This record gives sequence, structure tokens and C-alpha cells, in this order.
Amino acid sequence: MAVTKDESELIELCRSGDRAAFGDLVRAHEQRVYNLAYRLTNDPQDAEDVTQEAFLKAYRNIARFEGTSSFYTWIYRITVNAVVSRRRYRAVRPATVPLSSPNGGEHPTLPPDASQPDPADEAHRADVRRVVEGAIARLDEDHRVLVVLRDIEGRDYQEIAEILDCPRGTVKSRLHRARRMLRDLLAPVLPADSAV
Amino acid sequence: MQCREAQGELSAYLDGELSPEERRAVEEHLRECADCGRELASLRATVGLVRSLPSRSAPPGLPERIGQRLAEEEAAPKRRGWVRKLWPALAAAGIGLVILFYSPREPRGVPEHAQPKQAVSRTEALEEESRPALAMKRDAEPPVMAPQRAARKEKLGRRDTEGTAVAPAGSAPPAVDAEAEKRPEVAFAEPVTKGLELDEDTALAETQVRESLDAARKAAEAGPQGPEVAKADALEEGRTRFRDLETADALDRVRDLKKSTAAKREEAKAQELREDAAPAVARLKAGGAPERKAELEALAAEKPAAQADAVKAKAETQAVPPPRPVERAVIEVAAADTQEVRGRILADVRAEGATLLPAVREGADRREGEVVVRFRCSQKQLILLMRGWLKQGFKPRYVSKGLAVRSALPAEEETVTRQRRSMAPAKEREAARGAGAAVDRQASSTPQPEEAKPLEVIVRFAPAEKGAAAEKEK
Repeated sequence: MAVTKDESELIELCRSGDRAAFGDLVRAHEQRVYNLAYRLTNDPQDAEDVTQEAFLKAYRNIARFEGTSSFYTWIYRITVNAVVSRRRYRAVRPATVPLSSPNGGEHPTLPPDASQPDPADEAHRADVRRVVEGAIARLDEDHRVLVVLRDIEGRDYQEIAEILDCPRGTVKSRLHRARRMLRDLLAPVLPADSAV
Repeated sequence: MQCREAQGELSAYLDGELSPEERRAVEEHLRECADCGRELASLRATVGLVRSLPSRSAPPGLPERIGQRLAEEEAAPKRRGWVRKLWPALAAAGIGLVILFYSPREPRGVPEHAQPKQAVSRTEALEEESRPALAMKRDAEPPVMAPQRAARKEKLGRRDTEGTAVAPAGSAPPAVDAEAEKRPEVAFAEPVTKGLELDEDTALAETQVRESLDAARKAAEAGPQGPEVAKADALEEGRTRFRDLETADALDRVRDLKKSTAAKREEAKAQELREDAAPAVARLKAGGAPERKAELEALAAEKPAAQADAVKAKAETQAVPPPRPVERAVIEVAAADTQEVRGRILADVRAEGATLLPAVREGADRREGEVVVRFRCSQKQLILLMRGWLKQGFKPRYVSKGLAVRSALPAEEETVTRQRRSMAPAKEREAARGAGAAVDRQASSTPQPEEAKPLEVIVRFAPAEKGAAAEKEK
């Protein structure tokens, strides 16, 4: 996917040191980047830190952005790397997050479907959401990033391959493995008819 | 298609990432295989759950916080990229400053002990450095430098008028030497006389700073906060940044300048040493055995700087009509802190493997603060020790003629040569002189191969100011 015209103009301005133009780029991508960071870290504070780091890094290295891929592919890649290096840096931190508190962030979540008035149903959905978030968090990093990029961010295999800088075949096989792991973790909440 | 094969494709099938053929094959299998159908259903349900997760919205104010961090980063020492871009100009500017600041007052501006220190301590390094430097110097005389500057000027597009007049006459071919442009290190070989030209480059670098500052100001003015605020911010930021840049640049320049002065000084020192050794070599040529001569010449040619002293030493002690046998050689050294110096000397002497002897000078002979170290060692050891001490900043005032260690010392006017004396009266005379530190060397009066001849060395240190006073008296 090529860079859109507006975006390429913004990037050009950024290259010449235009911080305002970069501000526009940040505003255009902050939600995606933050969401990606949040799903990868499962922690609001970490997500914000990673988002900031990713954008700062992007600004510092904007000259190296060649425009052959889209800006978001590039910034996703930076974000993923930021998460990975962050985790390496804090190797003590366990890769898993307790299932009980994945929703402890201070930022409100958008309701999955605002047209659901039933409080009981709503509570059930929240439970399921927590379980799903916990399950994703329990995947190891290599697999979690695929689930997040594919099923949360909706990237196709080719884009994921670019973001992760790996062959498309690897994306395919690893994503499949990740989903099976996830399915096993989610077995309690999967609809009965779909259990293996 | 087997179950195993089909199951590996199910995720991709769900994602629509299979080729039409693969897709058909999977569908065919699914029609026949209930297990794989359930597998597919469970995967689909899993994916459905994950996709149902709500999007997390970024906390408010995140772009502003990022912008703030960017501003902080830019104001702070994050300017490497900028410096890298301007490196050639800055390097040249550094040289210019070296010459402007250091050259006119080099004799006094450089701590006196620094010269011997570098001359000896870095002999090896010098050897490595001076050769390419010299080679470059030969290659890079004005005709190359001028086009290089011209190219840089052209490239940077702008320059100040100050200091233009200095391009050396007839040395500016019109063609821009692209090769020269690629070799900023050539600047290090620029002759010392070109200080004024280089000053241009300083001005150039300054221009660059201003330009980048202007660019930053414009960029900030175009910012989203409204022209007034942006302008004020930009000005403030610009000022800070300019200040930072100036400081940082000054530091960079000082660093460059130190580097290049040291290099130049060492080069000069190497030359000096070479010249120093020349008479000895010449004498050898005249009278020495041919193979010895060839050997020494080869040595001198191969490693001029490092070997010059050795050549000279050997020439003076061996090959030439034997020099006056040395009974006693005195090297006066002024030391600021005699006790501290004594500790260092003792450590060095032990490390060198020399034999420490009880100090002989005592009582009334000894001045206040004076320290004596006495040891026995070979010529070679003494040379090594002497070099070590020079490295540590000892300032030798006096070295006896004929002592091999002299060749390791820089030729300086204060280093006076004395006639040989016998041990006992010399001691008295030294006592009378009283101050300064001395290396007394006692040796047999018959010429012997230096390695076989042990020396008895007395090192005396007295506070530096007393040494200086004594020097004046003389």
C-alpha cells in the first residue's frame, strides 16, 4: 500500500523538521498505535509509554522512511519493536497478566455494541472480554503479536510480514499456531457447538 | 488432502489468504471431514471473540505529550544528526581554531611538561600516526585544500565575507576536486600557516548554525498554536538552541583542536627526533661497519620516530669513536609533590626490576622536602624508567652528556650538559646546589656494552619552586 498523497506531503514536511506536520501524523495514527501498544502490553501506562517512544523514534528516523510501504506499516513496526525491546529491558516482568485485572486501566473502553441494553448480557460480555484479553496476554510475544495484528488490527498477511519483517509463510503458520493456542485457552467461553 | 494438511490451512482459509486452488482443496476436504469442520468452527469462534474486543482509545492529550517530548529533545543535546551533517565544516573550523588559539603562544600556552610527555609517551602511536599524516601532507598541499574548500562553499551555498582574502595565490584550480571533498581528514594535514583560511570555515560553520536556527524558527512559526505564540516560542527555543549549539560546538572544536594540536606536535617531535638522529647516522655512515650502518639506516628509515632515539643511543654509545665514558650523569627534575613523586618512582623502579639501594644522602645534605631514591639498574632500564617518568610529566632540567637516556629526552634549551665528575665531589656539588631532583648515575669509566653495565642511580626530588630557584642561581 502506498503512502497517500497528503501523508507523503506531511512526511516530507517532517523531514524538513516541521514538528507541526509531525503532529498531524501523530493525530492521524495515535489511536491505532495506542491500541496496538495496548493489546501488546495489556497495560495502559505501558501502552502510552510505548506509543510515545514509537512516535519519537519515528520522528528521529523519518529521514529513513522510504515511502515504499505505508506509514502505518512503518510505525507499527517501530511500535512492535518498541514493545519487544521494552520487554527485554524489563525482562523481570512476567509475560502473563492476571486474568482478574486486565480491565484496570483508567481509560474508558468503547462498548463493543452500544445497542446492547441488557445489563446482565453486558456483564457477561465484559466477563468474556476480560477472559479474551487475559488469554491474549498469556500468549508468548511472538504469537500474541500475530493475533493482535491480524484479528485486532485487521492487517493482512502481507502487511504483517512487512511489519514483522518475516516471510509470509511464517505469518501464516505462526498465526495458525497462535489461534489454536488461544482457542485452547478460551475453551471455557467458546460456544459449545464450536468446541473441538 | 489429508486432515493434517487441511488443518494447517484453516486459519489462512478463514482469513481468505489462500489461493483459489488451495481454497478449493480445503473446501473439498471440509465437505468430507467432520473433525476438520469442528476445528474450523472453533477457530472461527476464537477469532470472533478476539475481533469482538473493543478498540482502546488513546488517553487524551497524547499527541500533545509527544509534541512536548519532541520539543524537549530538540532543545536538549539531541543534535547529533545535525553535527554529523556539518562534520567536515566543524572539523575544519576546529583546525582553524587550533591555529588561532594555540599557535601564537605555543611556547607558553602549552604546559612545559606536556611536550616531553607526549613526545615520549606516544612514540609508538606517533609512529603510526605520523606516517599517514606525513604522507597526506605531501598529497594534500594547497592545490588540494583549495578546491576542497571551494567545493564545500559551493555545496553549502553561502558564506560570509570575513576572511575571504586568504586563498593562496595560484593554488585554486577551478575544477572542484570531488575526491578532496570526500576526505575531510585531509584537513588535519593542513600546514600550520593556513590559520586564516580556516577561519573562513569557522565562519561558515557559524553560518550553518544560523541557517538551521532560522529553519527551526520558520518551522515553529508555521506551527498550529497561532503565529504569535509560535513566534515567541520559536524565538525562545531558538535562543536556547543556539546557545546550546554554540556551547556544544565550542566543546567539539576544543576537542578537535586538542586532537590536532597533539597530532601536529607529535609529528613535529618525530621530525625533531629524526633530525636529532641524523648526525649519528651520518657519523655511522662515515665510520661504522657497513652492515651495522645498513641496519641502522634500515631502522631509521622504517621507524623513524620510535627508532631515532635508539639509533642515536647506539650510535653514541657504541659505533662512533666511543663517547667519553660516563661516570656520572645528572638529570635534574623539578617535582611539585616530592613524597608523591617518590612513591611513583619507587613503584616504577620495582616494576622495572631494578635493585633498590639504601638512600645515601642524609642529614644536612638534604633540603627540606627533598627525597632520595637510590637504585641499581642497566642503561636500558634507566631509559625505560626515564620514559615512564617523562610520561608522568617530569620536567628534566639536566641530562649528562653521553648518557643514552638523553636520546629519549626532548632537546630543550634548559637541558644543560655538564662535564663528567667523580662521584664524591659531585655529591658535594649537588649538595651545594641543593634543590631540584637529580638522577645521579654512577658507572664504570671503561666503556662496556650497555646492557652489561649496571648503573647506580640516585634520584633526588625537591619541590619544584626550589628547583626553579636553583636553576636561576646557575
